[in-house]
Amino acid sequence: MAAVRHLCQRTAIRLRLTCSPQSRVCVVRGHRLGPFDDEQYRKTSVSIMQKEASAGTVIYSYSPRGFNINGNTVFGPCAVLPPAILQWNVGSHSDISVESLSLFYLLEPQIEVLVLGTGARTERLHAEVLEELKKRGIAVEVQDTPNACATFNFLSSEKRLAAAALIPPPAGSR
Amino acid sequence: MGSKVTRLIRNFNVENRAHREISRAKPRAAPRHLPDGGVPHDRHDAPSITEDVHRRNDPLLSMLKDVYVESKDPVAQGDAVVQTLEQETQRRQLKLSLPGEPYGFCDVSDVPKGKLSLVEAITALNNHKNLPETWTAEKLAQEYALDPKDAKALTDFFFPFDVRVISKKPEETKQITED
Repeated sequence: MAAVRHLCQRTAIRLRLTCSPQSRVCVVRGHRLGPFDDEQYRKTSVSIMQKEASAGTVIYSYSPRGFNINGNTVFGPCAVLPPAILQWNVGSHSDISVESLSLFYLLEPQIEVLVLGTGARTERLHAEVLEELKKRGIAVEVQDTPNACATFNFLSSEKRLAAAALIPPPAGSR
Repeated sequence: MGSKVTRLIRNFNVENRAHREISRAKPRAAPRHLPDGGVPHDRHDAPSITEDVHRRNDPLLSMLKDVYVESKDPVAQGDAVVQTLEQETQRRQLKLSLPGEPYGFCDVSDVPKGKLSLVEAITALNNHKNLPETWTAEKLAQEYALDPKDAKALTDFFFPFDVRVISKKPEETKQITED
C-alpha cells in the first residue's frame, strides 16, 4: 500500500511539471492584423416612419351622461359603427338581448369584433346572446365601459372592422 | 451467518476454476429455446391440406365469378349543388351608396338577402324616425328584403342622434398696446 501511494504522488508531480509550459504559452496575447468592422467606412441605411393619414374613429372620453367620440359629444348608450354613431335603446346591461344587437349582425360587410361596454363593472350576458353571435361569426368582447373604450380605440387604430355598444357608467363609479 | 457460509463455499478455489473456463478453446454454447412453446414442430405432418390449398376449386371459382360491381353517376348531388349555387347567388343590389374612401365599411356593390349595408341601415333608421307612419318596420322589411322580426328589432333598439352644432362666439382679439 505504501508503494502505491508513493507512485501516485510521483505521477501528480509530473503532471504539474507538464502543465507549466502550456500556461506560459497561453498567457501571451495575439495581435490584430486588420481593422474591425466599425473602423471601416460603410454605407448606412435609414428608414423613416411617418404618421398615418387618419386615425379613424376614436373615443376621446366617457362620462355618466355619455361619450365624446371624435370630438362629438353624444348622450346616453350608443352604438359605434365607424364612421357612424347611433343611439342604442337599452337602459342597462340586463336589456342586452339578441334583438338589441340586431344591427351588428345585419350589416354587410360583417363586423369582426363587437366590443360591449356594460357600465361600471363587467357583467355576464345571457348565454343565448353569445351563442347567437358566435353562430353568426361575430367575436364578442364583454368588458366594463372604460376598458371597452380603450379596447375599441386599440382595434380601431389597427384598422379592424370593430364596432362598439357602450353603456355609460353611472355617476359615482370612479 | 448463512451468507458467510454460502460466500465461503462460492469463493472456494474460484480463481483456478475461472482460469480453467477461460483457457478452454471452444466454450459450450447456451441451449436454444424450443419453438412453439417447447413442442417440437413437424413440418410435413399434413400433406392433404397443402394439396387442397393448391387444387383448383370450381364451386368457389363460380361463386367468385358471380360477384360484380355496378357504378352509377351521382345524379342527385348535381341538384344539391345547383340549389346551393342558387342560394348563394340570392343577393340584391344596394339601394344607395356613397362614393369615396371615408366610408370604408361600404365598399360593396351588393349584399345577401336578409342583410344591409351601413349606409342603407342609417338611411332606413332615419326614414323611420322622420316618418314613422310611412316607413314602418314592415315596409322597411319589404324595401330592403329583411326578416320582419329583424326589421322590428332594428327600429326598436337603434335611433339616429339629433345633431346640434354649437358654435362658439368669436372672441374679440385685443391688440397689445404699449403704455
